[in-house]
Amino acid sequence: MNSMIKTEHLQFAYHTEGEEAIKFVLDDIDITVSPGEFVAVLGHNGCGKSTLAKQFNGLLLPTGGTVYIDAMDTKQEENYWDIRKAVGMVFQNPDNQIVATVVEEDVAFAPENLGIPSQEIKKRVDESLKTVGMYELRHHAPHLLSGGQKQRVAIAGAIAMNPKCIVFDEPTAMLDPKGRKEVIETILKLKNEKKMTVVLITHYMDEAVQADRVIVMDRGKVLRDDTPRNIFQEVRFLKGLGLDVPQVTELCYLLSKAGIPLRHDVLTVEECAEELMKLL
Amino acid sequence: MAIEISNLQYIYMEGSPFEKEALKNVTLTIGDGEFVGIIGHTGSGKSTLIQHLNGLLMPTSGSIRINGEDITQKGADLKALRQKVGLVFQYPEHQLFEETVYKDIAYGPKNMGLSQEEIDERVREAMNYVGLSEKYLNRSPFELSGGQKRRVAIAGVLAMRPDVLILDEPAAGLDPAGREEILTQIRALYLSRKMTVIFVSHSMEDVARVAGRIIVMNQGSVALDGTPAQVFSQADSLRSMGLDVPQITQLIALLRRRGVAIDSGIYTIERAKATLLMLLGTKQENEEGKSC
Repeated sequence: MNSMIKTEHLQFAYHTEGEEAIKFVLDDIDITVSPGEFVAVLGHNGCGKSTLAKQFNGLLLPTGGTVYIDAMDTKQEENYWDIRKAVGMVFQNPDNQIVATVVEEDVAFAPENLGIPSQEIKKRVDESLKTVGMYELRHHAPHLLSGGQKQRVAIAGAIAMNPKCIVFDEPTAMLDPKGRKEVIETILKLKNEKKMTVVLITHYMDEAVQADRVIVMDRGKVLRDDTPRNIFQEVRFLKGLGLDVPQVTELCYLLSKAGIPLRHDVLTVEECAEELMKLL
Repeated sequence: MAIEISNLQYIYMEGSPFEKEALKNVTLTIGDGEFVGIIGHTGSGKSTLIQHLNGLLMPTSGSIRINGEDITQKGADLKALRQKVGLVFQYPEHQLFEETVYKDIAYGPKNMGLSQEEIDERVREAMNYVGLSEKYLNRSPFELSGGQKRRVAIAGVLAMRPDVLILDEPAAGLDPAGREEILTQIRALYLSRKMTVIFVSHSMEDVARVAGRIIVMNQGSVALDGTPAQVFSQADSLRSMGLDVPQITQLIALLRRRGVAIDSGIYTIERAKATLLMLLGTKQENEEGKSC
């Protein structure tokens, strides 16, 4: 089976005139994302994670190495359309992604550009809106929706293209807790029910905990690539990179350092309570 | 500067089909030098409330007194008020407009009609408060990182030397290191300038770290008002208001439900660690006692 995303020695540098030294924004990245996987990418601002995301549908092209999307080389011009159909993107600010004045028209925008017959478009739009739970609001004006609702419309727009994979670049950064929850539940649904491949770039550790795999980036390099449970055990390593760990993970880590015999790979409040109840 | 709000009501688009009562009967006193966190989910009225505090919105009914002066009366000096009550909006970096960092921060003091020396002093002072090095003075604010831009915008408000600083979601959209930095700086600013700070957020964790008092808004009214420990001990009602309770608070609530006698007001990792160590310590002692 093909990898959904595969990078080989991927390098990327922005071209800056007059500067001698080249600064690599992405430096020798080798990662693989399998079909149906949910991978979270962590790293502080400027570590290169958004630049990496833009490599995944050919918005940016490698200056060294290769990116394969579903076995297609992103540098081959004839692959552009197929790659963009295979990988949808959802960005941070929903207001920048909405183009139409009615929800269902916004979702129909991309399939229309693909020249799909209108019966089929209607079907895709309805299905996409149902998947994200926005079907009831399909005749509404997007600008009157809440942040979480707008972001779900943006997701519906991406899934109306029938992509195999969606890359989310901090989709919850501008949302309130309720909106964040709506968007994360939608992402999990895409993975679990639609079997889509999901790449999620985020600063929120409680979101990363739900992924199958977490990739930690710093200064353009991949430092860790492992399960959330193994990654978050490394409390000091993550804090050293300016990243957070879930509060309960940190608590268990501190308690076990103080000599309490506790597992310190707990990720959720329930697990932590369970561990503590054994001792209390 | 003391702020007294009594029976404040605000209705958006009164008389239209979109009429909405955004604030209902809000009565609050915020004392001089307090650090208050206001939380509530989107639409709870928190932003509407703070826009009243420097006269951007005028109440439908009720009154607001700042240092004893009713700012809702006709003829109130709103220009003077806005110099005393500085408001930093959400994503303030979107409001940067000048060619250089210096000019952007100097905009407020310049409009106050201050002398060039005074402006210069204030710009440098404000940059120092937000931890921006003077090497940025002549840079374009648009070439800076997101966190730096935000600090330039906050400095622009601080350069007016307000007595009350209101910040609407100052850490929104920043990464963990950026959030940490901005929260630490606001706290340091509060301690050194001894100003009144009002901090609006929907992150309970952020508010808990910096504020001495928390006001929870829900559906246009004040739902809870107290110290962080008092407010966080109401974990269930906070969640019912759609607020995200810190994991530590959730953990403590869960342990209590399972019969552990632990203080419900714990909301930081440090306190939880200390308390659990004590509990586990006494438990171990008891067991040792039994085994003798």
